[in-house]
Amino acid sequence: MSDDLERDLGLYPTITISMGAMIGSGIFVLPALGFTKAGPAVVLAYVLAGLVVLPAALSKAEMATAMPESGGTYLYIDRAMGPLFGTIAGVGAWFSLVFKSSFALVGLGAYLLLLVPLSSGLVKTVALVLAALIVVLNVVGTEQSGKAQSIIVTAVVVTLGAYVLNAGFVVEPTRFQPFAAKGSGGVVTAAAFVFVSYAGVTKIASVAEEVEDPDRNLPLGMLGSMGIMMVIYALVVVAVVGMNDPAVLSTSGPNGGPSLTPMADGAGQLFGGVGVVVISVVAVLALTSMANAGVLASSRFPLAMSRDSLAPRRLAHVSERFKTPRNAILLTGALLLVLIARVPVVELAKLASAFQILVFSFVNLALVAFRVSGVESYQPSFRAPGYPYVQVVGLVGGLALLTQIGTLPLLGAGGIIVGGIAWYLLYGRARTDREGAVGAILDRRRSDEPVTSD
Amino acid sequence: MSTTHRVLVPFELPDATPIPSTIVDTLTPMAAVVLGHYGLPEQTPPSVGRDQFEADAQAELDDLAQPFRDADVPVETRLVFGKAREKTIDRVAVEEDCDVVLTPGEADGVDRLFVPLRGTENFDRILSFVADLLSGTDATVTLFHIEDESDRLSGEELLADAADRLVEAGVDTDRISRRLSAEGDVSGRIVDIGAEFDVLVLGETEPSLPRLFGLVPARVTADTDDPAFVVRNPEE
Repeated sequence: MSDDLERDLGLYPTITISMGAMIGSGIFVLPALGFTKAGPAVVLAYVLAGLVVLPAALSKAEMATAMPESGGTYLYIDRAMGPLFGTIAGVGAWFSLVFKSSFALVGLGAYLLLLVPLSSGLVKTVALVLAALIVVLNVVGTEQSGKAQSIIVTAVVVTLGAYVLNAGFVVEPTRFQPFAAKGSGGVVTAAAFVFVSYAGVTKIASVAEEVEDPDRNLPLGMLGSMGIMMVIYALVVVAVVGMNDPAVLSTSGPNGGPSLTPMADGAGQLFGGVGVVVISVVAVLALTSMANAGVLASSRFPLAMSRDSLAPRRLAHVSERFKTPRNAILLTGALLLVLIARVPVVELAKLASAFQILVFSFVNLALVAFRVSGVESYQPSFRAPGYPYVQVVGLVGGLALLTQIGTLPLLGAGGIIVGGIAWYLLYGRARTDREGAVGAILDRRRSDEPVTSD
Repeated sequence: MSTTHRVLVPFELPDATPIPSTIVDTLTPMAAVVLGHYGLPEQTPPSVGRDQFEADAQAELDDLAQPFRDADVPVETRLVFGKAREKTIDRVAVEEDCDVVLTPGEADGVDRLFVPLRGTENFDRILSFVADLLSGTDATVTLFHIEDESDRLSGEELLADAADRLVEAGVDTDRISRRLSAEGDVSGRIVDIGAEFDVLVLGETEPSLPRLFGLVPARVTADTDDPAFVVRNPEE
């Protein structure tokens, strides 16, 4: 008997949804920031970040085929490790995605100001207005825009391809000397920064209940979209580094910081001189789509937690009028606006990455918990290859990146853990009695003891 | 009487418009599946929408199905939450083995049926459904064809053949009339002429694709004010 939930996303739309959620700030805004940390070797940072994300994506793909419901990351970690870790992961994933969306919006503002003659001091104001607009749009509710999404992703990928090809003629090889100017430590730090560029792969898991033939399309969609994006990122970053004066990349941004529009900086030499306009238009499209998808997807975390009694019931309420989870969206929107207004842009990116690394580490642990526990309800149809080595590599890699990311983001990640524990103790613990797959492992241990087994 | 045809009757919830009882009465010799599609924006996961609105939606759906029970039409209900209405209708039609889909429209009575025929494709199913529909009413039927140079049979022959089938199925000859039209814009002309009638019966001539209905039925159902039965062509 069918579960009467619509499953109408095939493999191609699944890949474009994931790519659409990944393409955005990671490539249009972050390369310059990474460049300041790693020099031309920032290219390697993008590849390294992708390699560290891969184990989590594989783990997630497996869990998504066992639990093809909305909720994604939060749901898997909660069911694997119980509501305490569920709370930490839910809050962490929510923060990460909202930080990332706010960063995308600031980048969007920066590109928009390249198109219209306004003072560049208005970046944050523009970002705030756009954020408010996107929140309203999400509260009112939008029709499924899978088609529009596919068109935008296709347009962006085609433009990026043309950008790379065109840039091939103006790249100056000398700009890659010295390649690893800041040493291998710099590459790791940059990888930690750009980690968030791959976070969009999460999006597939959060729409898992709408994907047809999930056993096949979820893992293929995740791996396919990540593979494509790793190649695209590496090529585009080579082009950006090869076309620009290092000084422009590292100091032309607000307050002498790294440029927020690195793809446009050297684009004047491309597309017969209209490169800046072309790139800016595409960046605005991609970043708008990313911010919108980010608000939509991040509002699912408070929603899912509320349905599991880890957050107030009201957050799962669906508005009678708009048929949208209005409260969850408004809460997400409020955080978004505060972040844009209050947090310096570079910190937004670092914190988003730090939270994401934390959550992805938990994802790897969650898979191990499920496999070890052998709970009967866990029946994935796709089994991640290379278990458990892949997960261990992902976990160690993630923690290694986390140590290189800097003091504030590290404190932020610690804050999420402490805050998550506090919220669970104050709110969730009294309202839940799940123990997750880990609970099953502990139960088994207890019943294995001679005293209790007869 | 054996129930040969199963008619899918989709409603867009909430606050759906009920089907007029005159239409329901024509379905007496058949079975019906009443489908409630509860439209949600992409912000709302279907399972969340279901949890909150299922009770109300099921109650509304049961009310919508009541006229069918009153008319002794065997009826089942299906309730689906989601975004893609057309795809859902198509999927449920396949799952529930429905060979006819009713698209709603205005009808005061069911006195005149309009049956445009393209060719012999899906012929048996369309005409057997029309015969069943006629057996439940006193309505007259007009068989209609727009001539096309690719026709294998002449329009006259096609319509005569169709009329013979209806007579064989027990329909009185004087309830059947035929009408031929010269070449032209197929869907536009069906909509224009169909306006003189109460109910349309459209046949899919190409095999049913993932998209709902064939090209012509899709255009006609979008443009006409009349209720229309679309007879599917489920052969793979």
